[in-house]
Amino acid sequence: MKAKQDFPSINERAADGLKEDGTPYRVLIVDDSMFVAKQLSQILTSEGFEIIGTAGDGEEGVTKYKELYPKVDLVTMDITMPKMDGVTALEQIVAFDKDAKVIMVSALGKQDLVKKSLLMGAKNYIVKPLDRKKVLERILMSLK
Amino acid sequence: MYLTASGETLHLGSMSDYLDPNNEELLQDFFAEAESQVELLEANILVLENDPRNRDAIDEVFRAAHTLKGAAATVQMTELAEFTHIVEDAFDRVRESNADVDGDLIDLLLSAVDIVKSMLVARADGSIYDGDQSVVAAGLAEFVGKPAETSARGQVSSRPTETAHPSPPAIDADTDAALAVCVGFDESNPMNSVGGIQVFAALKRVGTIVRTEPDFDVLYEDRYHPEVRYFLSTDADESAIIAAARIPDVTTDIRVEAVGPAGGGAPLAGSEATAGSESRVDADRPTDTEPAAGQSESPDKVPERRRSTPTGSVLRVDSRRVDDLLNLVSEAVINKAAFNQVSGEFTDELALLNAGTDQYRILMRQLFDSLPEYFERMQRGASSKDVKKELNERFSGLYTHFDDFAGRFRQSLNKFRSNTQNLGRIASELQEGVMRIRMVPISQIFSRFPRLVRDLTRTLSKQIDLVIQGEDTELDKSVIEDLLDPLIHCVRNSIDHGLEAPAQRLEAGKSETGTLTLRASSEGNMIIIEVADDGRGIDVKAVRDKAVERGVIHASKTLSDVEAFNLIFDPGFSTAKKVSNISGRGVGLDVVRKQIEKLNGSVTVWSAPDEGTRFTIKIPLTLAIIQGLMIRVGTETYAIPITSVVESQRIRPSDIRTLDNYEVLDVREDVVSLLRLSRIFGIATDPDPTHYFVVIVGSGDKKVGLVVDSLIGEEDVVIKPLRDHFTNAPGIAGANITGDGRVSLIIDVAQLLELGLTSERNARSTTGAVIGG
Repeated sequence: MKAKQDFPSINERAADGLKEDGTPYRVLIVDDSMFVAKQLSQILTSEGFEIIGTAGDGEEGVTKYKELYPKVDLVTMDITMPKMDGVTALEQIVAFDKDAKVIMVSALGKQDLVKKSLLMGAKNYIVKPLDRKKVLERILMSLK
Repeated sequence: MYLTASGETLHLGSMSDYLDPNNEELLQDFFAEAESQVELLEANILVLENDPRNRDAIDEVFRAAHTLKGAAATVQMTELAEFTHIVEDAFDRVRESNADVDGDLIDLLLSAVDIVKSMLVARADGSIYDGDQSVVAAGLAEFVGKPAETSARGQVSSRPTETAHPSPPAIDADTDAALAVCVGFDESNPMNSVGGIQVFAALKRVGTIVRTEPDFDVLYEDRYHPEVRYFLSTDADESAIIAAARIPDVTTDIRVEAVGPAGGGAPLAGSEATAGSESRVDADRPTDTEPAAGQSESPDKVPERRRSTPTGSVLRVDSRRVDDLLNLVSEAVINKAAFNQVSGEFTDELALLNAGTDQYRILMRQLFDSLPEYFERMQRGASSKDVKKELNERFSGLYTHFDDFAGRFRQSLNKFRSNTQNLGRIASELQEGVMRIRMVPISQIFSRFPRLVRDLTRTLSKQIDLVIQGEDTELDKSVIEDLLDPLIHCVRNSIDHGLEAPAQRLEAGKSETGTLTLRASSEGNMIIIEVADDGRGIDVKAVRDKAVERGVIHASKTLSDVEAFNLIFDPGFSTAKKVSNISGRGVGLDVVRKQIEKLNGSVTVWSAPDEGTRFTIKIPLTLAIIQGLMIRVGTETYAIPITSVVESQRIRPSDIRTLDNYEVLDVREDVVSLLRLSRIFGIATDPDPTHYFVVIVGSGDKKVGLVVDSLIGEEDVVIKPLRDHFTNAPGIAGANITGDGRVSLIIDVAQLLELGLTSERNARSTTGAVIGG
């Protein structure tokens, strides 16, 4: 993250979005809501993550994942989306790459789908409305 | 990064604040998204009206409501989140039950959309919607089949799920469980019923889960369990198990206990395995005191009165357009470098020229100084041939002295010219590119009409097909916003006055259903929007009679049909026999014309009896730059928008005739009254010129000739609005800076016409009074 070099931080806390070797974690955001996608990317880029791509529906998400593979460290996956929902997209991504780290993004009330996704191999879930701290916490937990 | 007094690092403002519900940017994004979701809702509900089994549309409505709900919760607009939740529920029900969407539900949903709209409007104004939503909410809740539960905040409790439970994966009952992992769950977690499965999935990765307590199926149900025991057969050590099972916010304490074979339910009390050494309590209690995600402290707390957020100011731009601009900017930078280089060359050449002239002067002086000497020598008898030869030898350099300079200068000049040409191209492409950034498809406003037309047809019990064409046509964002009202007026007018009721249509031998067409297309720098119907057409006689009655025209005036049509744009004019709340208050079409003319556009109407009526609105692509005809009056330059210029002529003062105290000019078979800009703007001009120029300008069907001193030519004019104390400058639309840095004023033709016509009308009424008295 450039800002780190430009403004040395006194308390030395490394940005959360950086791997041990200093390169950023690369995140693919799959969300049909530009609003949510923007929030996620704001939160993540502020911690040094790199948004490697965004997709507006499940189908595009799967395609992008395959395109970018193996450069994607993490996928955030909305559950309700047009064309292909997040659970199906998760299934396809996991079928393609069983080590894929996918985090579901869900609104309240979709407990059953969240459970289904977790059993399918999603690493964690984030509840909308988003909360900066929770988002980072859950993403980092899945990465480390 | 900023450092606070306490030494903590703050993240750069815009980033960390982004999720603050009071953040302007967040709100803007929210309103932009909400608007598009509402549009989506409405459009798809209308699709369902005609095609109740359209699964795509049902899904779409469901999703739009869902997205809206989530976004509203983020910005803490609780009332909106709750209300959209009901809509979402209703649609979930439709999806599950495969039910048809009947007319009642459509009506209910459309009123729900209206409430959502009002909620958004209220929020944008900084207040909260306080209208009645109970009827709609109750109606939808009844549809869903459960009492309205508006305080549920999205907690869907007992809705049957269509998702088949996945069979408990990989529970291997034959394996002997070695360990029991007791996991406590935090109830305050917003999805507290998910934890059990989440830990299940996590533990599955470190070993084999033999069984769970409560049972897997029970875990899968939508219920919160304070503690779950997982019986696990694994090689992993305790800390690894705890690490795997620990999920912040979700789990509280985790204990690992050894259990006997066959997976007995309770830990074997008293056995050596429970000596305590292996039992550990994980310290990961919910450490944070702040509320869990989504359960923001007090959902009902409303942020202090918000500044009203201008929702229109968010512009979504295709990134390719921005890339194009970047390309152009880099070209401009290269161009700048080229200019710098030429500028350097010119400096060198100036030095060269200076040195050259100095040498030249010296040589000339030598020449002049030596002349007497040569005369003397010639007088003494030296042959003129010798003298000439010597002069040539010494001074022949004078002929070619500047050749080198001239050559280099010419080269630089060529470079300069080609650079200038490039700059011109880049500038115009940049201009175009920036304009394109502001371009939005007209579908943004066309998309509102299906609903409008539907509502109107219901109220008026007419049958109308709305046909929309060319909705991809793009025009300037600022233009599009001002275009909606005039278009609504035209459409209402067509539906109310133009299209007949089904019975009348049948009588006239037409199909029962009328057609209303909204069509947009572009033509050069203009956008043409047509609102056409196949109704009864404009009743020319009625218009005429009304105009005479209202004193708009004189009874003896002969009117062409076109002139009669245009009368409907006159203020205070309405041919509707009765005033309805749809159109016909007499304010309407004149407002349309005013607004369109404000956009530098024009509106015309065509009609034929029983064939229909067509409004044609022509507006420029953009407002910021127009083509102007530059003219001069005295020492001042003015720009007249080229769109309103009909023609220009050079006349002699003797060509001007006086009619009723007004100066007029014969233009072919027409008589055009003249306005002298010098008089209107009070500018001193040559009192007795040999000739004038007349620029004939028109707005609608009115024409007038502006008398000016000279024509300069056409130019692209960038309009800079006049603000503050200049705002009251009648007849002036704005200012423009010309190439040489001077300011020229832009003439507002419509206003000028009005100015001229009012004074004319005033004058006429006074003369009329004199005659009458």
